[in-house]
Amino acid sequence: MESPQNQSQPLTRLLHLKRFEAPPPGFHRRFRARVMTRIEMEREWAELPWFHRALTALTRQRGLALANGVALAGVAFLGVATFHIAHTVVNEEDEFQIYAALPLPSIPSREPAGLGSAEGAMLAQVEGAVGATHSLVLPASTGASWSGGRVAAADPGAAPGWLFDPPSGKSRKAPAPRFVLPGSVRSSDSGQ
Amino acid sequence: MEPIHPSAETASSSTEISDRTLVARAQMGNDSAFEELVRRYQQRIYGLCYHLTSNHEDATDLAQDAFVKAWKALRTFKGDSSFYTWVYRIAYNSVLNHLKQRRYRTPHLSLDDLDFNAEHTPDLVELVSEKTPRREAGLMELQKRLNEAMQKLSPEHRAVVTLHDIQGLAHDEIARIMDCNPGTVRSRLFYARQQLQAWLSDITP
Repeated sequence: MESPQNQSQPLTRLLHLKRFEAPPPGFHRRFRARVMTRIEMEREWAELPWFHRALTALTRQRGLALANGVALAGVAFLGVATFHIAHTVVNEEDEFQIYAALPLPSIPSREPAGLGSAEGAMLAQVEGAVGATHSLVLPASTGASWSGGRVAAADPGAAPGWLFDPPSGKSRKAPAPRFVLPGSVRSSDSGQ
Repeated sequence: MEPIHPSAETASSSTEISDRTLVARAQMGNDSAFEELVRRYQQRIYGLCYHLTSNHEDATDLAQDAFVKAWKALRTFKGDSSFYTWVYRIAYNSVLNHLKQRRYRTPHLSLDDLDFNAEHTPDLVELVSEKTPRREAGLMELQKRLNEAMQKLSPEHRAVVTLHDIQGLAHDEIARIMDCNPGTVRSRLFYARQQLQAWLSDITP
């Protein structure tokens, strides 16, 4: 087999051409000076406090600085949003308790024309088996009547139904909520 | 720039001793000693970076990086190998990393000018076609073709051709720089020459 050296003699001569490729005159003198300048900068950089180096590293390039700024803004936004959500939940709980403790607005009660009468509004206050107080306003047109603690519709077909079902004793597991509808009268006010 | 001849590449023992002294002084913080080391090897290190990238600006940056890295790591240099082999290895690895990063980009040639003496070298005069109106233009065309062909080689094959055929280093030296065995260097050199010959067959019959 022919040796690689002999085989590629013309190529080797051509490759010699690359030995004549030279940088501009004075390049190597400037090159040495630039290397030493960079070394001096590296030395000064190493002597800087760590926070100064970190800040400089973050803001050295415009694109990098922009990316860091956006990332920082995103973190700040997330923090504010998280705090706001947590704060809002606390406020809702507080708000519920505050409204529950507030006295009811003084709305002038309408005196019923008379219990058992077919005309006029009937006020029924139902004391549930669990002791919860429910105030119901039954429309006069239903013809419902109150007797013996039970409310019976005169005409089941005409009854619009209860505004809500009173809680039964069996299903009570949690303290029953207290519903007060506008225009109702509290038990203490009605004297019952 | 004086062309680098193979005979001038191998550092003599006296230079070696002097290098060690300079390295010892540089390790103690003497900047002048390190500057002298830069002066001695900047041409070869720049040449390695330039022939591997075929780009003057990239080669300048990479060669600077290599010397700055060498300065930073100078305290870890134990003297097991010669200083220039060590710096060569740093430069070679820097160039490899650079070439990996730009793998998907088309290499942009930014070639250095040919030295005035190139026109008068008999080997090169033979290569330039007699039909070429101006010899200088013919040489520049050859230079462009050669660099384009070099860029088609893999970085490892390009490095072997650069270190052996252009810079004139021995196989063993190249093996130490590239961290492989001399047999690998020889086989890479053989393959790289075959490839170049195929691509440049019209000008290297």
